[in-house]
Amino acid sequence: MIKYLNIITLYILIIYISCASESFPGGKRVYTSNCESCHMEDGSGLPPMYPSLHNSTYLNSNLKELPCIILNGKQSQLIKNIIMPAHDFNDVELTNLINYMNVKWGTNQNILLKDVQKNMKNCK
Amino acid sequence: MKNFYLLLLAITFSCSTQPKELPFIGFQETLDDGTIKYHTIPPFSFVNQDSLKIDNDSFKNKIYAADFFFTSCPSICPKVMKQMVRIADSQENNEKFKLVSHTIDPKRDTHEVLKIYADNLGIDQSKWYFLTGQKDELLDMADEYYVAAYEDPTAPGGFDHSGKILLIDTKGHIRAFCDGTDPDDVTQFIKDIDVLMAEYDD
Repeated sequence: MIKYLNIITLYILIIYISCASESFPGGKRVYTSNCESCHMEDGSGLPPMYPSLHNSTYLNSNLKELPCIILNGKQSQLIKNIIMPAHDFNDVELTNLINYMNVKWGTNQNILLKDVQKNMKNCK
Repeated sequence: MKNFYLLLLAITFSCSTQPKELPFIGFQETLDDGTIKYHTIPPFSFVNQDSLKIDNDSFKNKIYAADFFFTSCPSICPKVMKQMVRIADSQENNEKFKLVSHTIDPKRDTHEVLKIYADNLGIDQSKWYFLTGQKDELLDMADEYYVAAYEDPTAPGGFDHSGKILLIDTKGHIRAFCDGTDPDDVTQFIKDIDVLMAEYDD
């Protein structure tokens, strides 16, 4: 009986892990509550006013500029009323967010916490 | 027990059937002669993205979808706008259908700004008006559409408002609405447009 119980427990554990294994769940949480209303749940945005994140140049080749842009915000060049607001994220939130977006819509390259911390120091 | 399952089955099917006629939404009164007077969008006059006057006559014999937004809105507006584009695309060949988006922030959303916004959406601007005008008149108009829209310095962007999209018939009655931030609700709304269109088939 105990043997069966162990197998069932193991089975449930495997199911649980495979279901909860979306990359960077912390980054997803930050994205959902701060970015989703403009860039949309699927990252498609409403371009050109609300840019799509799919293969965005910032995710693909300008990854090092991204931390400061997210922290400082950015004004639309098309309509000055449209402004991505500044965000008060800490280094861990920012790292998780960028990695979440990159796995979903970029080149899947990861940014390291120490690199984000270095970038944050050089903002502005 | 068998009856119980039958009941469950009946409930399931009753929910999935498409209503043949849309309701009339809002306050209504019965007149002395027994006819019912439904809530009607009152006369209005605003200016669109091309600086042209748009009033009730602009929607003569047309049905239309209406919403309220502002370009500097950092919260729900882009989501709702994306769904409005979806609605516009679904009715691309429907000559009886128009759309109207009212700004609630006319100080910043001049007709020039709305023109740039509309140009960049890449939509058919002969069918979709972006309206600006006097702030009080725009906020009063939101009340007539039962859309909550208030100036609130503590809200993101300075205005608090709902992302409702409404469907208006040729007589100015509200016939359907949906939450513009919920794509599934908007899918139902697009079906409602077809139901309303069927009223005008001869």
